[in-house]
Amino acid sequence: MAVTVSSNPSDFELLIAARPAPGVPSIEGNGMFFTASPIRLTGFATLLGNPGDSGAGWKVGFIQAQWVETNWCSYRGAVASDGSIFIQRGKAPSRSKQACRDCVDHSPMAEVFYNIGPNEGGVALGAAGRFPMVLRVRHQDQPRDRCPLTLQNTLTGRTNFLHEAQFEFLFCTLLSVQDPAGNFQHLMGVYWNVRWQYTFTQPGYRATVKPLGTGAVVGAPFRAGQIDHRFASVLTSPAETQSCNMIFRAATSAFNPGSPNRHESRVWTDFTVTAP
Amino acid sequence: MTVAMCLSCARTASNAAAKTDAPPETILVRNLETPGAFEVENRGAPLAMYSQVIVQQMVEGKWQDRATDLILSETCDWNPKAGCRTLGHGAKLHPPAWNGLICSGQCPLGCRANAYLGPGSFRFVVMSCDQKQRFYGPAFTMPDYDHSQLKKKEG
Repeated sequence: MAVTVSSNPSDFELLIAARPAPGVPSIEGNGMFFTASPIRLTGFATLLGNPGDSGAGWKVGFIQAQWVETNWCSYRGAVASDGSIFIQRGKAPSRSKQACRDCVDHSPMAEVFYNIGPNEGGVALGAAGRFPMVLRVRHQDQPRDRCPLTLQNTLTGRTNFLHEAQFEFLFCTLLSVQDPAGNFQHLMGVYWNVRWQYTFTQPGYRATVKPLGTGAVVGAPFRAGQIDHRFASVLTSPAETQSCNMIFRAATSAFNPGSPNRHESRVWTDFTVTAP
Repeated sequence: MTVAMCLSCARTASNAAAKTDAPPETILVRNLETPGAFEVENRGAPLAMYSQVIVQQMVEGKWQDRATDLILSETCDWNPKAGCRTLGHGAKLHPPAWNGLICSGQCPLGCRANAYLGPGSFRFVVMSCDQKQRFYGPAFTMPDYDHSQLKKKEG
């Protein structure tokens, strides 16, 4: 009997150990930071085999896709004639695409799993040994982003101050097994998100929450069947070379004067936030 | 403030066996009052220092490297890929404090994939440019996230 992954429902599990929440925005240096509290997941899978079989080459871990990103911030001068600016980081061309595979920075995209760091517990490796072989893993994420506190309005030459920002990060995290040939089997998954929408007033960037735009949700863990078409193409594909971190960092080009994702006005303007 | 020098710490470093122990009282790594805040002082001859700072965590009695994005710089506009920097005799560096995160742990970055490493016992390790000499800071405790500086900043 070759080594297999047990499909017995009692032989694999994905548990929610901590649920995220959007932290109140805070100023660090010249930026307003939006930091979530951690989501923590644990999981396990079970390999089956006969005496003499080996679990070497098998891996259990978490794979994470981000499938929606909303990301904009607007700025206003002290008075209406100082102008306003709208920065769109959630759409093309600064953001090359919506869905992406999410890996920590030290975990190569080619490894597919979210975190293969040897001391991180994100991936468990099979080995020679007795079956059933239970492989346990854990997962943690804590999304974070920032907006500069000020931008210079190139039309008026005046400083514009952070006035409003919205972030929405929607994820799906899967407990998956990779066999020695590199094939993946997804056992369980969970959808979760974290969202912020705040306005800021001067002096001092006093933050006011927009409750409908702020919160976090963790869905019920589900048995993974067919993968959601909204991110199936990025989940394990070797063609994906840009992690979510890489993609959104590239989108910071939206702040550059002249970027098509940067919109300026000579007066205070209510920008259309769905615009590129 | 606690201070540690290279030799005394290197003896306990499980993963430092392949490295060359530096002479004592050359590069000092000091923890400052806030957990994660530190300074680096050169008490010896000028030395070219490696751009990255290693964070180690005590796990089951052994120090283990944790992947973070810490750099040996007082400012965040310095590109660590630029290479090494020389720390002159008597020079002190006060890098931005580590906030416990693996991404945006010190300088302003956004991160989708990220993690807070506390609670636990940690230490900083700085290296010579050729990475052959390691200088170990003393252990310090990072609190859990709910008691972290990050959480406090939310007010």
